[in-house]
This record gives sequence, structure tokens and C-alpha cells, in this order.
Amino acid sequence: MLPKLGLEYLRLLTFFALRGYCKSRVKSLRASKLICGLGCSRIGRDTVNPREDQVVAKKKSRSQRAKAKARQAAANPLVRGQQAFHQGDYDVAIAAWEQALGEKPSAQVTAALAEVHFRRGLTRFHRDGQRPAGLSDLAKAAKLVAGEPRYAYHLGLTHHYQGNLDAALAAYRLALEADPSFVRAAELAVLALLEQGQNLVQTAAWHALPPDRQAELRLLVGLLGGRPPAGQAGSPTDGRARLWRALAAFQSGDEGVREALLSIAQDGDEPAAARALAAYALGLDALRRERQEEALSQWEAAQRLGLNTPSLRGNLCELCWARAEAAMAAGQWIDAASLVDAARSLAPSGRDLAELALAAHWHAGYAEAQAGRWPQALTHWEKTRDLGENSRELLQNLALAYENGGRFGEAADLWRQVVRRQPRKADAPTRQQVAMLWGHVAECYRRAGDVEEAVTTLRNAVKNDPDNTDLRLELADALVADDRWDAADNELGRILKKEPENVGALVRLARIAEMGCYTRAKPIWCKVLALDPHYLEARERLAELLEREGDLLARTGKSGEALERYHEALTYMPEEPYLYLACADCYLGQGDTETARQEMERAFAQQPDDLDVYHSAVDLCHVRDRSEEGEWVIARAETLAGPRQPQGRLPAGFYLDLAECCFKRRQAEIGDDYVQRAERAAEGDADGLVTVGVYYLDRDQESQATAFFDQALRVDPAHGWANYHVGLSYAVAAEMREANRHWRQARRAARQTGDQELLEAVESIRGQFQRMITMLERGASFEDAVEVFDDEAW
Amino acid sequence: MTKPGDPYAVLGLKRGSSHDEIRRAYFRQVREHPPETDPEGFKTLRAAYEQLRNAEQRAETDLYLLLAPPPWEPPRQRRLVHFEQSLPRQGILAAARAFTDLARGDFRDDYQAVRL
Repeated sequence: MLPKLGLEYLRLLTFFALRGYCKSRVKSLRASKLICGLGCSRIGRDTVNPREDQVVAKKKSRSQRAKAKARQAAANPLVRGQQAFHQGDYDVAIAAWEQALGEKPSAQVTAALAEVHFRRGLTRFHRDGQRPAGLSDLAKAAKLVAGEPRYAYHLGLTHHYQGNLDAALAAYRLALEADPSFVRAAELAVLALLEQGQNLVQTAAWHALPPDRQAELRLLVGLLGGRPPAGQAGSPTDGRARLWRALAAFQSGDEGVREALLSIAQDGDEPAAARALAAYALGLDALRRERQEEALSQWEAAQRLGLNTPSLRGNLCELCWARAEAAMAAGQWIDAASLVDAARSLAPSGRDLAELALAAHWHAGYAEAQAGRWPQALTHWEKTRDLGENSRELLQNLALAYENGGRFGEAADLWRQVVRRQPRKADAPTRQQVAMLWGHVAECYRRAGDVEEAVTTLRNAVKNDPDNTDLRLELADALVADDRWDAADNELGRILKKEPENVGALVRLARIAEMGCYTRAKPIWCKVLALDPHYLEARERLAELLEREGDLLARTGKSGEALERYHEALTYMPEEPYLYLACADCYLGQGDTETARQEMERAFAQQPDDLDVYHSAVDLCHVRDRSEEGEWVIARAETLAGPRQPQGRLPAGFYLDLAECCFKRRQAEIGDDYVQRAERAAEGDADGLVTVGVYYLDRDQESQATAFFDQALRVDPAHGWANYHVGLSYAVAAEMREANRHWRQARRAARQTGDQELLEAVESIRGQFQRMITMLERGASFEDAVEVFDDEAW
Repeated sequence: MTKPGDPYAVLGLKRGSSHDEIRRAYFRQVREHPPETDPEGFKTLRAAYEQLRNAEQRAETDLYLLLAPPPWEPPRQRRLVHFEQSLPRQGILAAARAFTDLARGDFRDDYQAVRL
């Protein structure tokens, strides 16, 4: 199906094939008019429509007239300002009218300028958060038209908003002078006076208020003075009057007002500050009835609604504190810790409260740790430490908690402090125990990756318990981990001086010796085996050292001595097939085919299923140019291993691997023969056929590869990798529909068999083709489009 | 290595318990949590017992145990709890402000037309 292709050739083919594919796609897009947005500039216009030209000419004329008009307007600042003003562009309006005023003073323009400053001031102050700029605009408006009460009022309002009550009052007074019936100004002037604690009654502002507002404000004055006011004011539906009346009744001790306060506190339409005040009053009411839980809940609600007065904070603090003490007395440490934290957040100062917090967190941490909740315990103990507790007991618990959380560096630092602060008198730990603790510190440092500190602390451990061999061995390990080989060697030497037969020390010494000179390691490993004949590592290392010696001898033609080493190695590892093969190789070199075959038979007997053993055996025969022996090995492999393979015979891959080795040794004829055997072995086996196909693909023999993938599909139409490769061949031929069909099948197979590699390969190749097609459709050059292909993937 | 958790607590013992007390507590607990019906519980018991069964192991275990905080005692002199009973002036004024223009942000009603 495919011509011979390398990557570049494949790209070229893909270009021509996909160009055809994209053309057809573009045609259909054009038909559905979607092309307009994609490629009009490339397609161009072929014909001119006269009707269309008339419409264009009319549009042009309209546009020219509008432009002329705009030019005229731009020349007149009054018009320009007006246009900007109506569009809400106050900056431009101010600039234009200031220009107009400069050219010709006019009361009308001054008033207009004041209004625009007023509007910009309000916008800036209330909406844009530009408070100083807003205030400056409002001041400018009030200055431009001094008799306008609105400007003075809003100037006062912004001062009031910022807490500048004197300036606010001055502005309100100006507003009232300009308009004595301006109730809003009078009301806020009275409020500002109240905030200043001044007497209201003789003021002009007070007299400007209607009687019902005066009555209502009298209630407010009474509340602020703490005197229950007499009488009622305002209509019952007025939220403000409702609040003042309810609070006045509450201050008078009227228990029946609870419902009214509750309805205000829960009324979402009321201002938050009013609801908060009602909730605060409800909290006080609950406290009077000795219902602390309810009081807490109401005050917390008041706090959430924004009330943040010292009395609320103080009351909440007292309540939490009292409840924390009660919880501690009941042994409810975790609750107590949370309550005392709440109390401290409201009133952080105070030694008594800090001491209570320390005790609560200390105990809460202990309770959490005993229940196995280490992260919570750690949080409590860290707070305990922050509150000033620094006892050895706390440090030890903290170290345990850090260790439990995998924070070994912090744990090690704390353990270190714990060891240094052990009690010195009757309860003092023994030197052995201190050494054990230092060992533990070192273990934590080691786990934290700080080998240097581990070495330092292990030296402390050894100093405290010099006869502790285990600690010395740990020190040697730490030194090795820190690449301090000589120091480790010395430490092990000290152990062996006292205990010459310490296997642990000998093993470590042998490992270190192997790093430098393996011949030095050999007698040490022998000693280990003499002390413990079953020590597997010693057997393996000795066998390997001897094998290495044998290999060196064999390479220099001393096959007799090499054989001696291999046979000695086999005394340590008699189950190692490659040692037998090494012997067989020597015998083949000596021309002793019979003995070589016997050694190979021994190797096969060790691992009869392992194809790598047969492969190595065949290989060594070919290296020695003994093809007939290679054939003998293959015959043995077919007899011994073939029936045990999943297909009941040697797989194609086995022959292909042999072929590859032969090609590398330039034994092309033998290699070709193995390839043919692989093809025969693959017959009727989809996996084998795909293996052969991939073999050809790797060698750029696309047509052979595709033939095998097609064959694989005929054997197993649902085969994942076969579908993947066949799909790819269709994609390269621009038959995307077919390609996608095979890739979908490959994806299904991958999901069924859990073959993640196949799944990723399918997604990747589909994505790459899709991106390339999209780029070509958008007019990208082929060179750019083909860059989407990942060379590795090909 | 540290063995977090308290084997004494697992066996229901105090820290200074004797070897015999430890053994008795272990067998009593095993009767309550036999391996056939409560394998996890038994595993925990066994692990705790292993940490305490011989003197050397127990000495090591004791080194890495959680340490209890000093007992807490309520203050001898009862603290005088004081609550502020009056309504906060600051809160009342905040509520009063909330009913006025000070709580508003949109004053477009106050705009007036411009005539040139």
C-alpha cells in the first residue's frame, strides 16, 4: 500500500495527499459560506456587483456629512461640553466649559460647570473610590455656585462620611441658610451635633425639622444618654422609629420587647447596623436571663453584621473566657482551647488569659495525640510553644508530632534539644539511653537528608556508649552516605579490632573495598562466608568477582585459568546459567564441542524458560563462528523452551533479536535467515506479525511493514497495535476516515487490555494529524504544518 | 525508631506499672479482643505489649513516649466576670447613620438639568 518512505519522504507524501484532502474540505466550507471568516483574502473577488457599488457610495456620502458636522461641533467648546456632559464624559465637559468660560464669562456656563463638577464629585466619591478627588469636585461646585443648597449639603455629607464633623456642620449650615426647609440637611446637622455630644434644642437645624422627626430624635437622644425616653414617635412601619422604640423599651426593662427586637434583627431589609444593634440588645437580654449560649449566639450575629464596639468585644471575651474555664474544669480541652482562642482574639492582652490559653492548648494537644490526631496535636503544641512554654516535655511531644508528620528536620532539631535538656538528678537517663536518643536524632537527620548532621549526632551517640556496636555501624553507614570512605573504613576497623568476627562490619568493609579495588574485597567476602555460609550477598559478590576475573583471563586467551575462575564462581552460585555459558564459551574456544554442549545443557537446565539464556548461547556460538552449534542451541530452545511459550513455539521476536545481533557482527546471511524464520514463526499470530511489521518499519521498509500489519489484522481484526499501524498508513495516504476508524478500534483495544502506551500513541498521532490539517486549512505552509509532527513518534 | 502512641494507654496501665501488671493487663485485654474476632484490636494490643514486655525494650519505649502536661487547676480566687450592660453609643450612632444619606451611594436623584 505504501511506497518506500523515510521521514522526509513520508512528509512529502503526506503533503501531497493532505493537500488534496484539505482542498475538498475547503470546497465544502465555501459552499456553506463558512469560508468567509477563514480565507476570503486568499480567495479574492472575481466579479463586481453594480447595486453593491451604489450602496457603498451612499454610505460614503453619509459618513462624509457626519464627519463635517463633528468637525464643526468640535470647534465650539459649549457644544463639545454639552455632548460630553450628555454622554457622561465629565472630564471632557469640564475642560470644554472651562475653555468657554475663559473665552466669555457667563452665569449659565458657570452653573453648568458647577453641575458637572457636582456630578463628577459624587461619582468619584461614592462610586470610584476616589475620595479626595470627589471632595475637591464638590468643593469646587459649592464655590462656583455658593447659593446652591444641594452642593453645600453634599459637601457636608462627604465631610460627615469621613468623620470631619466640624466641616460637615459648616456645610450643612450653609445649605440651611440657602434653604431653611432643607430637612435632609437639618437632619444630618442634628446627627453631627449628636455625634459631637452637643445640645440640639437651641440650634437652627433642630428648628428646621418637622415635629415627628424631632420626636424621633428625642428617642435617640434618650438612648444615647442612657435615659429611657418617654412617649412614642414615628409611624410603626418606619424602620428607624421601630428600632428606637424597641431599644427605648428594652432600656426601660420591658421584657415584652424581645419579639420586636428579634424581628428587627432578622429582617434582611433593615440596615445591617440596625440589625446588629438589635442583636446586641437581644444578647444583653439573654444574659439577664442567664442564657449564656443564647447571648453568645446573638453577639456573634451582631459581630457578623459589622458591630465592632469595645463593649461587644469585651462582653464576648468575658463570655468565651468563662466558658473556656468551665470546659477546662470538665476536661474538655479541645473545646476550651477553641474558646480561649476566641477570647484572646477579642482581647489579646492579659496575662491570665494567656496562661489559660497555654494550659488549654498543652492539654488539647495531648488529648489529640492520644487519639492519634497528630496534625491537630501539632497545631495545639505549636501554639503552646508560641505562648511561651518551653519545657522538655513539650519539646519531646512536638518532636514526636513533627516526626509523625514526616517533618524529620524539625523533629531532629527538637530531639537534639530534648537530649541536651534531660534531667540531671534521680530521673537522669543512663549514658546508654542518652546514646540511644542521639542515635534517634541522627536517624531523623538521615531521613531529612542531612547526612552531615547525622554523622555529627552519631558521633555524640558513640561518645556516650562507645561499646555499642550497632551505633558504630550506623555511624559507618552515615559516613559512607556522606562519601567519607576513609572515615567509614576507620570506624569499621575499630569495630573489627574489638569484634574481629562481626559480620555486619565485615560486609560493610567489603562493600567499601569493592569501590576501590575488588581484589581487596575478595578475602573479606570469603571471611563473611566462612562466618555465615548462607550469606547470599557474599555468595553473589564472590561469584561476580570471580566471573570478572575469568572474563579478563578469557579475553587474553587464558581459557584454562578462566575456566578455573568460572568453576570456582559456580561453587558459590551453582544456579547461575551465565556462568555455565561462560564455561561453554571457553570450551568452544578450545575446540571441545562436546563439553561445551554439556555446559550449555547445564545452563538451560537452570532456567529452561528463559529465552535470554538461549539467545546468549546462540550468540556466543556465532561469535566463535560455530553456526552448527548455534543451530544445535536453537534446536534445544525449540524443544525445551518453545512448548512453554504462550504461542507453543519460539516467538518471532526471538529470531529477530538474533538477526539483529548477526547484522551488527556483519553476518548478514545468517541474519537474513533468522528474519525468514521470524516471519515463519509469526504466521497466524497477530502479535508476532505486528512484531515483524515493526521490525521492518524500524528499517524504513514501509511496504513490508504494512503487509505484516494487514496480515495481523486479518488474523485478529481487533488487535490494538495492528489497528494503530494500519490507521497510520491510511492517514499518510490522506484517507482520514479509514485512519480514524482503525484508531478508534485501536483505542477500544487499548482500553480493554489496559495498554496505556497504545492509548497514548493513538491520542498523540490523531492529535498531530488533526493539528496539521487545521493549520493547512488556515493557510499555513506545508513546512510549518508538518512541524507539528514529533520526529520521535515517527 | 519512635513508636508514636502510648502502649501503656493501649493496655490501660499507668506509666510506672510493674512487669506483672503489664502481663496481666495484656492477657485480660486479649480475652476481650481475641485475634479470631478482632484481629486489628489484637494487633494493636500485641504491638503495645511487645514494646513493654522486656526491660530493655521498655526502657527504649519510655524514652519516646508522649509526655503528659502538668495538671491544670482552676484559679483559687474566682475571677470576677464583668459584662457591659448598656447599649453601645457607637453602635446607636452607626444605626442612626444607617437610616440617613450617609448610607447611600447613589445620588442621581439630586442631579439637575443643565441649560445653555
